[in-house]
Amino acid sequence: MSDSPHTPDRTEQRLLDAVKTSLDQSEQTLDGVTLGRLRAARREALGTLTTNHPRRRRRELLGGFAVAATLATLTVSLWILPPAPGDVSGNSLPALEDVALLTDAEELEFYQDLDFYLWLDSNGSDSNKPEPVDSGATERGGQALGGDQQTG
Amino acid sequence: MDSFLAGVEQRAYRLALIATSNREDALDIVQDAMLRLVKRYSERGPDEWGPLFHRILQSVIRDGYRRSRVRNRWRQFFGRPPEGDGESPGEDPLETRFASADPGPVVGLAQSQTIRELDKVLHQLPLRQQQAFLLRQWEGLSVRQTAEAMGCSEGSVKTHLSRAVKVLREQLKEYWLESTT
Repeated sequence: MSDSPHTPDRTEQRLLDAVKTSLDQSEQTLDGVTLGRLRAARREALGTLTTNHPRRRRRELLGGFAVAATLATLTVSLWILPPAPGDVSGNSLPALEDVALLTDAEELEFYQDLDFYLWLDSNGSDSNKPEPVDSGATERGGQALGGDQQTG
Repeated sequence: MDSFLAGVEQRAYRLALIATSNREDALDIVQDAMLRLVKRYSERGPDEWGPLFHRILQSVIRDGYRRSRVRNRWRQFFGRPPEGDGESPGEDPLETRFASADPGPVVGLAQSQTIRELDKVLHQLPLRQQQAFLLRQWEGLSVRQTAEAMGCSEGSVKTHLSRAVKVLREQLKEYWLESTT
């Protein structure tokens, strides 16, 4: 206790030694149930090492990021790249459908209107002119496109 | 990490128990401190675990101590006895703390009484005095290490320690010095 505010006298030191001895002994008198629960708490804490290890978490994050980046690249490529020559039947569309399902981040409405988007994509590639559409598709498209078709 | 925690868990439990005087709270505190250390600092070097664990433990003890005091205030407000290990009204948890412990052939009744008496006095100390005393006198930390664990200045540690020693000397003098002479 060299850096304590005062040097204890002999009486005080004897008291402090007795306190320390008693505290040491108290540590040895813990009952079996308490010791068992402490062991269980330790096991549970150490169990998080395997499930929440920072390195593992970083790997998971990087892995997730890589998958997301791949899917995003694939999606953008499918939207931007022109269809293969002579492909007017929309063969790339099932792949687009798969990507959309894999990402699983779109609203349910997107899937409900997917037929219309597929039709719009296949017709839009033939001509820049808007084609007449059936009333059901117009109704859905009007909702999906924010009413552009009503004003255009 | 396993051996480190195994080496500190019993003492950590005693520190938490002295602060809260409640077995369940003390176990929760130790578990919480272990979880925080493992989750946040398992990649640090083993030589850093000790100071980090002390700091985490003292922080969790302070939180647990505050929660315990608030709960007890509300219990008293509704006319219920303060929480403790004792389930029956009026039962002193300090008296029953070691009731289920198997003292073994070496540890006798006098020792249990001594521990109970010491626990009672330590528990009555203000938490900061209690922490300063236990970390300095029992854990053997330096003033600087104690200050880091408690999140306060070294001057505060010295003040808290000095007051704690004074109280202990006054309250335990008669009982302890007589029994140890």
